[in-house]
Amino acid sequence: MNFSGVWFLGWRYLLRNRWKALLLIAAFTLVWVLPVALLLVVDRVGENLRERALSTPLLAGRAGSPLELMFNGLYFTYPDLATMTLKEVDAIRETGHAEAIPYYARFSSRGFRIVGTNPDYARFRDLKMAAGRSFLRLGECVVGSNVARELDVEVGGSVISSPEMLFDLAGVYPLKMTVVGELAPTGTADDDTILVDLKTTWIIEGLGHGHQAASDISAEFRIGEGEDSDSGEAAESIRLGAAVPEYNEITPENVDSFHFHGDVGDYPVTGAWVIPTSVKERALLKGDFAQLAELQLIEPAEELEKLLATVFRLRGLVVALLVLVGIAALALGGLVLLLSHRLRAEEFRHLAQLGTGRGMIRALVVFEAGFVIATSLVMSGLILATLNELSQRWGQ
Amino acid sequence: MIEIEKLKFSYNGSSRFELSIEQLSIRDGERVALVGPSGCGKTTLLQLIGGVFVPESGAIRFRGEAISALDEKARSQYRLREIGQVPQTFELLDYLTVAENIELPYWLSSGTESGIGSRSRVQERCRELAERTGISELLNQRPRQLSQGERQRTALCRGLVMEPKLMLADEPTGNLDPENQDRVVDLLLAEAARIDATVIMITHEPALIPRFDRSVEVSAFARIRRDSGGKEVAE
Repeated sequence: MNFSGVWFLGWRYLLRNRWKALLLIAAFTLVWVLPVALLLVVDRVGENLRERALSTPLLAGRAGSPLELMFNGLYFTYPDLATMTLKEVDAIRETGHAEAIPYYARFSSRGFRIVGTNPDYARFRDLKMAAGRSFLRLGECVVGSNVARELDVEVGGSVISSPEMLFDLAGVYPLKMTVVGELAPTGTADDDTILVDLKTTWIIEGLGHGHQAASDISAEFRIGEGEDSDSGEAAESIRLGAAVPEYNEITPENVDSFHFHGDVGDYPVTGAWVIPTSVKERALLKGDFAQLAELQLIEPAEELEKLLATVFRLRGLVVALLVLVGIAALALGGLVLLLSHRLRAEEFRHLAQLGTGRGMIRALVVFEAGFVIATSLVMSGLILATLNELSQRWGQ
Repeated sequence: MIEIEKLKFSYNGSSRFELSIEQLSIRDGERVALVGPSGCGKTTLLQLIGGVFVPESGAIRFRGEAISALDEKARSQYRLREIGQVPQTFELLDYLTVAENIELPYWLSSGTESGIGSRSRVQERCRELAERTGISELLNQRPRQLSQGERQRTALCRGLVMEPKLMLADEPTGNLDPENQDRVVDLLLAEAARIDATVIMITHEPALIPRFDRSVEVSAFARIRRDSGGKEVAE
């Protein structure tokens, strides 16, 4: 076989007809890639979802969509879920069946979720610090690795919570928080979170605040003076109006002025990660929750499997359709190659007359189709390898 | 020398056409014009000499080697090794440049023992031929950008590039104006003489025949009935 001659003529023909060849390669690549990519991405995303779900035994939250609660508890999406109270979380803990770690994931900073919780969360998720320390005081935060990179912040820097509504005068005001730690990368949703103390999120929400001592505030912000209404004692008290200026940053100098009104136990949390002490306690706890109409306790892995079962059914349908479309595309591609061969019949006849052997003619006939198919397979391999890499990140 | 003896050929045994040659000899370096009406078998005879077709009976020998007895692969190699072809319709590949078209026989024969040597020698020969045939400025162009005369000169260069021993030209001037006809035939004969090649050319132009050593007329019944050389009459 005259390989150099086949390569020379085949390659020159392809170069001369490059747009046709590129179109065919693109079409064939799509035919190979689409079904496999769909299977790959769905599998990979499913794997990653499962991993996080399996590491979260139970999730408690206000009754509603278990799926939304699952995504909120695992990935901090659906920030506007109905909340439960801290008292209700404490009640779980007090049953002795489980440990419960409350969290409040309503606010964000430049697209990254601010998650109010307690330092137990780091232990629960086995989070390691890349720099600094965990949050200890109001106004301190620990940023995930992606947050640190994207917002270009490091220990000693600060992040500011995003206002919920720009022109809502009675709404949530930005709070500047000091970064005291940076999490080591985990490849999970924790890389995209800003962890703070639960009370810090309540301050962002306006349930707690800090301001100058009432006695130092000018008269224009006072709305009355008299007995301390709470204690009923004759001590002198000052009542301040809502317009009194509040601190928008918590510093060592003003931290003592921050306070919460009312019973903190009634304050909202989105939910709680619940870690039963044993299988038996888990069953008992689920039994307890079955009696409560206003709360729900879900197993994230169970909810996820329900979701994935639906996704996999749909995936099968879509793959079947893609295969059908692929067969049609391959048939069309084959037709194009066949017509191309017909158009070249005279050329092949003449080459044979010049002395080209049958083997070389056959090689020239299949060169175009072979090149298109081989190149599309290589392209497919590259695309799928890239997708495989990317899908790990998407899954997270 | 080409020797044909007791040759009979028909297409798939058809009785509508039969080429029959009792005896025909062509000496090395001889220049022969094949003449006769359309459909009489001139092209068929060229293809038999080129080993494209195999006769039903009889023998065709080229320099003593029985071409008709060779298998298909050997006949292909014989064409590549010994023959330069100049077809009437040029048969240039439009996806190659003029230079690449001229070098085509080199690419077709790569890996066989034929040929005039290395790629650089073929490129050099391509430039020489292009220079002598007046198409050296066109080497990087595509065939469709050329005039008819330029295309035929390109096809002529392609036929000559491997310095063949035998040039088979199937009415190469059929699509050309008289001026270009003269030029192409002059070039063909001059270049063939330069490499000492035998030339067999089909032509319908009586004015061109005197330039050849002799003419062979093929009858309407596909029988060679007259040989202007006198001796090798085939009937």
